[in-house]
Amino acid sequence: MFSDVFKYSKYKKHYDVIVIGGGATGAGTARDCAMRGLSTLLVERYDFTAGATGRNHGLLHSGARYAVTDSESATECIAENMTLRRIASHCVEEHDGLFISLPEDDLAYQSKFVESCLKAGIRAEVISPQEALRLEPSVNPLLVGAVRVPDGSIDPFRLTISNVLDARRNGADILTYHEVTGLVIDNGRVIGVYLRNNLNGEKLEVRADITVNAAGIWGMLIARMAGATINMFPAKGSLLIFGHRVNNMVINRCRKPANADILVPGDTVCVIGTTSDRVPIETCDDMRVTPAEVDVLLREGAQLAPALATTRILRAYAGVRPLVASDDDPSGRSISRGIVCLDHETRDGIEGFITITGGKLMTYRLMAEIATDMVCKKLNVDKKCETAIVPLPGSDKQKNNVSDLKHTYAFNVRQGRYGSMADTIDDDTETDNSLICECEEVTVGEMKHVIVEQHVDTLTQLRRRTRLGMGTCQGQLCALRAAGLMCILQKNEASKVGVDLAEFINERWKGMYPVGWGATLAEAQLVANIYQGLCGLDKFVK
Amino acid sequence: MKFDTIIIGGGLSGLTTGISLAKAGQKVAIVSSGQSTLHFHSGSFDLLGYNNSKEVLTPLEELKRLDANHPYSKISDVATLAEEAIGMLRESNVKIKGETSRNHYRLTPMGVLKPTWLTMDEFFISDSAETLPYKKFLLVNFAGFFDFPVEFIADGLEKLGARVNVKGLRVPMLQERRLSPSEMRSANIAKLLSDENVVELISKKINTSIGDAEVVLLPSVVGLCSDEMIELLRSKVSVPLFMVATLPPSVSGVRVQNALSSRFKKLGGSFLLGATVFDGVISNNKVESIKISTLPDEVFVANNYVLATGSFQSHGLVANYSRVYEPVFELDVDFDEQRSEWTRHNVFESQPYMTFGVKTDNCLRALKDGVSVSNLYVAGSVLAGHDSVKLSDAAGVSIITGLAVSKSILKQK
Repeated sequence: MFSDVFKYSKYKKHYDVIVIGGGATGAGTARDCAMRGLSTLLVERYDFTAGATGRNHGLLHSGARYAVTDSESATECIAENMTLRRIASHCVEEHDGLFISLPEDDLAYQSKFVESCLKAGIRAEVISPQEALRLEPSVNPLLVGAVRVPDGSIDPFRLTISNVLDARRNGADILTYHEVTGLVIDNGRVIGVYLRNNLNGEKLEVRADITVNAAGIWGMLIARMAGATINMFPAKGSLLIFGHRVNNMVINRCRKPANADILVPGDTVCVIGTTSDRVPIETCDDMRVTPAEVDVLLREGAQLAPALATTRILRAYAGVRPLVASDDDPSGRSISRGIVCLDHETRDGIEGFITITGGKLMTYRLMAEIATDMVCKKLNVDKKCETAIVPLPGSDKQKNNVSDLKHTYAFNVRQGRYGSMADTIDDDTETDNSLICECEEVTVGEMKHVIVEQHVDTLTQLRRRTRLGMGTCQGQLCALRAAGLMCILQKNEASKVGVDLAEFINERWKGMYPVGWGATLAEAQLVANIYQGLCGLDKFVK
Repeated sequence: MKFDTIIIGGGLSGLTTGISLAKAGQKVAIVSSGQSTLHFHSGSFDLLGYNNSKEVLTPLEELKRLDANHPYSKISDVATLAEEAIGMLRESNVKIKGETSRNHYRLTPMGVLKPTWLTMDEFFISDSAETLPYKKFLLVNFAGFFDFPVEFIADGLEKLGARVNVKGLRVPMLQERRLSPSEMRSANIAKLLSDENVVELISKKINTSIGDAEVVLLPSVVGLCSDEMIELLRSKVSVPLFMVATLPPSVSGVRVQNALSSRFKKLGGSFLLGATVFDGVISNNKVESIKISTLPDEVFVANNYVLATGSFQSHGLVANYSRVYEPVFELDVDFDEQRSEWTRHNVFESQPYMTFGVKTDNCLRALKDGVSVSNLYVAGSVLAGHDSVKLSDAAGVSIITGLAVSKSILKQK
């Protein structure tokens, strides 16, 4: 099923640089390296965005949240916020955010907050509670104060894929489902990586002058392969997705950052988060949301927008922040969310190896720039970073004039999802226009597009690219439709696609059972009756 | 308004109970909030397909090995009721094949053979899970109909040694519909295929593609209101033709629903559709009266009441953040107090919530605060004690408990 189907799965024996990790940072670094003319390979052990990149709020931070406690992060955030609006306009929703004070919150904090925001260059406008309610009717009506800031939302899936596509356009090779099993080390120098193809078990070795470790929390394991120790603290953050978009502006609490105090609207849903708990690195591959975390998220979420208490919860999920303690603080007391770029040559005496970690989704581009600057310095390449200027694929052309658009909902959805790339999606025949996923308006033409262009071979990959199965029904009918089409479009064997479908349905369930009550449980029972009862999908379980 | 019996829930269980009582001369009302799970029907009725993860070939013999909480364990004469059920379905013009003593196999939309009890006449079945009754198949689908994944069905049949030709039919009337991207769903197609001329055209197209095929399989998208068009199609095609279930909505299930409700109405029953029940008054362990949403000023009174409201998916059971409850009468519900124990991590494991349901005494009378409600019986999927996904027993439990409840009510006289 998986071999040879990726049109773009090719690689050379040697590169200037290998980037490890298919999250936003890795994809961004690969893009930056490729744009600076370096021959680049990006390797990812599963699919793009399979780690923390695909498991966060999708918040386009204004930086206001960090203004009081971490002015450096705040300044970075607002700069990147403005940059992403330019270079990734098709991934961004510009709707602003509110920082609300409730009766139990200290209003004195508000003035400190506004002052800190302005100092960091973040627009922060105090508005009356009435005005806040007018702008955002879902906000808790008990609020006593509100500040408007330039928060927004960003789709991390689209953002990462756009970086991958641009890296590819600039000549980079991309290998998904290739896991680094070891580093090739020669005389204290990292000269390449040993890879295992996680789909067929095949082993390969690829060499490079520089290897960049951008593997998020798993980067500590990669560094260990080089004999370096990074003092990382996996911090689990759990979030809940609600079945529809309750709010249209980001809602934050105006207080010292705490649990579950950000509600972000995105696409058709809204997301409340997060919790923060240290977890052992061993658990990071299978994060489970606990009932206690769900309780906190619900209780605090309803403080921001009371409607959440009666809104259907679609899913729960958790990601892991790659937090790093500074080298002189092994206890981890002074953990920052700032960017950490380690030159292992000066730090550990290991040449040809760089780790880029810490940071946030918001600063992925800056992190990539910092890492790539270091790569260029080591390779004596004198080329300036252009990633803040050159728009990403999808945002590289003016949006079509509205009068030119075909007025179908699905077409408009595609414009939103792919930006200027939407023009290349087939929509000429009845088949191409047929809807596969009704919740998220995914057509056959769109499926064809991502399969060919965006490294898709499984239903889960299809979901990450298109949102298929992410809507209110969580793949009730569309998953089997899509599976049937995967057989045709990919020429994959039905029995193997059946295994993939079983995994897809199980993956959907993993987000549903922690919130398994109300409509979510009713829906889950229906899914079980359709897939196991009616269809016999359990026969395909490996 | 006064009735002998009021049944809450108009699905398979409520209709079975209603038909049985009305046939015995009772004045019966069925109050139904909407469409039932028959809309997700497979074309077959399962009695008991699996037990302890093993296929069941002779369901009656397996009954004694079921858990003591299983609804069948509260019924002494399942075999007799099963025969009665076959009669009831046939009298209601639901044409079925199969026998109670031995399961046969139905073919699922994913090409899997699953053991079952009764199957509607037009559907494809096999007596064995290892061999098929035919060797050469023509598997037909309509161009653009994605709710029938032929690749899986062909693969399933080929694994059992069959040779399968797949043919996509382009029918002009359907092509027009395809201009709207979500039009190609089973019930919509079935509406178009209620026209004799269209059916004739399809049969011609099928006949030219038969080649050496011994049998033709078609998605179940014919026969929404009656089986007239199915019979026409089968008479025009030169080899045997059978249907295979599609993704929901189930065209055959809608037909069963229609057949049973019209049988019920013909027997003099009142079918109150689109109504939810509220203000159920229970005093002295007896239901006094109920009210229904469509006639809120009217008090509905009956000698007996039957709760056949289904499980979570039908809202007969409701789970919230902290508990599971029965919304009409707040009856005793069997469920785990720990929310984390409602589900398991792996979706393919038996999920505890599937067994949650209303508690009853041994006569299927509902319990409230631990005491039997003397004139309130419970039937179908709202009952506690079985995981219908793992046991394949949903239709059987609905029909058999429905008939058992009806027997108990009639015995009271």
